[in-house]
Amino acid sequence: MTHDPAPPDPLLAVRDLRKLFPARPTARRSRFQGAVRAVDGISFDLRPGGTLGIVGESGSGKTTTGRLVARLEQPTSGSIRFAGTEIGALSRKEMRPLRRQIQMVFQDPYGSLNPRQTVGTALATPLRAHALVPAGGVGRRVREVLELVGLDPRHVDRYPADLSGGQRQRVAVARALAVEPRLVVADEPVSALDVSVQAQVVNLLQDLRRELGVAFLLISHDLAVVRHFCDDVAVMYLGRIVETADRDSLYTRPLHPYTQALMSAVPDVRRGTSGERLHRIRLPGEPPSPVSPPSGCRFRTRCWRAQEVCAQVDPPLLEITPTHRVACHFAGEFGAVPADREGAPGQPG
Amino acid sequence: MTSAADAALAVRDLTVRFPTDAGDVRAVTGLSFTVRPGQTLGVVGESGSGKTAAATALLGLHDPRRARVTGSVLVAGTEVVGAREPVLRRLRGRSVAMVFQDPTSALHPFYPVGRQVAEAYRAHHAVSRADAAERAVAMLDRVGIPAARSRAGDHPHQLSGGMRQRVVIAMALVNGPAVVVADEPTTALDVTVQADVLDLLREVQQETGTALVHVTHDLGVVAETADRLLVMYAGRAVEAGPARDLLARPRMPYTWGLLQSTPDLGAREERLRPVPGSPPSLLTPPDGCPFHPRCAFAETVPGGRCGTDLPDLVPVSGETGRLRRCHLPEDVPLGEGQVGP
Amino acid sequence: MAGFVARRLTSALLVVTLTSMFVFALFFLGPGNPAGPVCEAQGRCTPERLAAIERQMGLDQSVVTQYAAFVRGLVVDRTVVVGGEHTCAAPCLGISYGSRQEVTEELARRFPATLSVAVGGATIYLLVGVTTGSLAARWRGTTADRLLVGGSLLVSSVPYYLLALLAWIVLALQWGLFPGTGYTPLTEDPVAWASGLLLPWLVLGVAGSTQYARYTRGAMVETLGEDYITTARAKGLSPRRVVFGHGLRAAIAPVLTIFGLDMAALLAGTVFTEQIFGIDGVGSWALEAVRAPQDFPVLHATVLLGAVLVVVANLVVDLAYGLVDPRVRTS
Repeated sequence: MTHDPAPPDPLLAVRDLRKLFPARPTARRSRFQGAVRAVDGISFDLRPGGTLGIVGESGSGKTTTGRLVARLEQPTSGSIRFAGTEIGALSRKEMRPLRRQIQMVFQDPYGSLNPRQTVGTALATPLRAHALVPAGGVGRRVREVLELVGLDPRHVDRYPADLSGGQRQRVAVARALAVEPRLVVADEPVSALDVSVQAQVVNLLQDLRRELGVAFLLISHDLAVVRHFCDDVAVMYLGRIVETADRDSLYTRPLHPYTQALMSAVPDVRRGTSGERLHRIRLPGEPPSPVSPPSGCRFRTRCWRAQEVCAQVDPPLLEITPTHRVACHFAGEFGAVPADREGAPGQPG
Repeated sequence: MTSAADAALAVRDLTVRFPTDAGDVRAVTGLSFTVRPGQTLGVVGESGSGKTAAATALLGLHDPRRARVTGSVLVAGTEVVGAREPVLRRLRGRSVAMVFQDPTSALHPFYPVGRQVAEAYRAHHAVSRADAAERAVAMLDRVGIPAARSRAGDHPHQLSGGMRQRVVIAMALVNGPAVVVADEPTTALDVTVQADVLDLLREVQQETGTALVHVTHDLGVVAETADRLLVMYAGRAVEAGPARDLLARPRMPYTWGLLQSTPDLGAREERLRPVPGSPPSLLTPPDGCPFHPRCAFAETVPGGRCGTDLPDLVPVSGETGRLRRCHLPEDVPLGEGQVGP
Repeated sequence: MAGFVARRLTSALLVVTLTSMFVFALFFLGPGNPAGPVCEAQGRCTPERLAAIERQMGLDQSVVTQYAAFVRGLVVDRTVVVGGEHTCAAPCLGISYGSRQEVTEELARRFPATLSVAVGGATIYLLVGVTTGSLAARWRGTTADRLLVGGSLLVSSVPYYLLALLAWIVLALQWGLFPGTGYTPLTEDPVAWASGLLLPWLVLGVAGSTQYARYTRGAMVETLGEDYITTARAKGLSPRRVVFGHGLRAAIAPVLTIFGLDMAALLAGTVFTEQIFGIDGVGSWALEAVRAPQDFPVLHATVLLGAVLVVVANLVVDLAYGLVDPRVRTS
């Protein structure tokens, strides 16, 4: 397997990753009837210190992707290479030394913080577990990380219930960063926060990323938040990446019909006030079931451009520019050149 | 401004308090507004702004044992505040209906959706079960549920989130209410579905002439749908006016800050400008202007009045229909980074 | 659905079989020798005669062989020796050591009385419990709620046998209410059947209703906080429809589950009830069988009956749950 020659070795390299969940057995259909194809063959890279946003709606598989990378789930197949080590097939025990390096931040800090633990305890526990600092230095380090996330060090004695939503999310970020990870997987980290506070946390994550050189995998439904935080963006639909590009390219020139529809649907103050309401693309019907996705292109059942070929051939991710790839049969119209096979293995070139 | 007489909904000095052992939680204080038939009022606020407590009061849904509601809410001429249960019952669903945030929890999990819509109709019309069911099917069809007749027999869990919210909307509209209160009606939905549901709300509103109160935290959502906006902070109205106008030229620092901190898809600078701090406690709100601890302009107001005197909600001179609650002189610009054209 | 029932029936059969084996094994490991009383009844019991009787009864064989004989008896007639030879028609659960009657026959004779007591009592405690629980939830925080909750705690803190005994002594003996308490078969005289069982039903019902009132209240308080209850109110439905039409429908599901799990407690209650009110049912029969000298075939049969009832009740509850909650049916 040869690697992309241009960029330095990625911190995270995901290839043809799949996760199938057994479809829930029910009273009527007690037998195993198939699988929910939550993540169905995705590939992407994340360089050290980089930020990749994974955007999608419910059922797109974005959350599962994050959980697979953090190895909270076991992949069904495919490869996850983290800092040169294949972690996709590691057991719980083998994973333990790597846990410190991949941390996770969840949407609801109230749910992910133990209500009976003080902030100090919540931060000190991972430090002790990973024996990162000498026992005597734990207290100092806890105060350090609290300051790092913009909280008063006196908060160590507080309980999560005493904090505001924004403060709790800062604690969750502090806990993730206390152990000096190389990658933070953040699943909707600001979705539960008020807009005025959400901006504080987005900015905080930006600062921390610059200061500490931590790489971020940001999972979000919010295109606007992703635009403000990520260098690169991947758009997911029904378990697949349908388009991936650098931020500017994606937001100024979305190519995949689904990305276009998604962007046209985002309510926007600017457009609302100027009256220049973007032509909204309406998607007919409902997202298909991930148990039995459509043949060929998965988006074709709702796509206004769909032709016969879309039902027959699953479109590969094609390179439009070195940083922009689209999985669409009409990508050629945008000047696509066939993608190199290494970037998207498992898919017909 | 509209007079209370021709308004579908007229709210005067609405105050909602929840007594607790630690004192009263002042959820809503002195809120006043009117909505004409066919008009959409966007009520914008973050958590703790009192917007949901206000919306709940519009249907008289507060538990009298837990909440103290004062002031006046006139729905199509009938007083809601202090009304007895039988009066409220006739009003709810028929004159004023509600669309809730999460359609998954707002629908009863055990009953078919058609039956839930029919039940809302039967609560106010002496019709047979079959006729009500027929009416429900027509309504489900109207809100864009495909194969409404067969879907009417489905239970909520068999429908997608967007379809469920359409059912909730059908339920709210089945009696042709004068006022529909929608509390974050699209917050729980996916973006593409949200846009569909917003379109639907707008459509049926134009068709029926219903007055719509759209409560939301999302400026983007109401920017495209509301005629007028009312911005709430710490239980009070802090700014109001025609939607486009208000968003293009906010005249109160909180509204301005909210716009600054809202991320968007446009080509603005990369860094967001958050409002510092967090919303105040409704148990012990700050003296003076409730926003002053977070306000970047408070120190520029002479005499430190922001920390001591609560500003009144007064018209902005020279601008029709604009109101604001702020000590800052009107000619002080709020910043170069204004939103809009 | 059929597959679901089939799987549940298989596991039910397994539970009953294991219970039966367990009781069988326990008896043979325990003290007491069923041959002893038979031997003594025939005059002076020498060790030789005891051994002979044991051999006749088959007690000298291994537990496995005896259990196999028992199982075979369920499908084919067999001959059992207890003091003399008895033919025992299939399904044969043995011959009572005490009465020397076929256990199956006696069980069939006594079961209707037990069923009457249990079903009547359960109906009352479910109805009373669910109703008071719902009302308490609707009036949560008021004096009425506190009275209902307090009253139910008071009743449930009295041991059941004491409650039943007090009811019997005070209501029936001292005040002369409920004359003719006892069991008359329903087919003979429905009025006598009902009036004779009224007091046992009430005692069982009141005692059982307290915990169901608490379960229901808890489930209802939770349900009444749900968004769909607010939706129901916002539609303009009457409070009664909101609480009973929308609230109770959702709250009843967990109560049903508890009812299934609680079947064993109901049976225990029935045993005491029969004993105290002199009803000649399975419960009092089982109590007699426990007394020395133990009547093993009877004991075995009653325990098996209990296991079957618990298992069947849970199966019924699971099916009922599917009727109540459509998500279980079609998700």
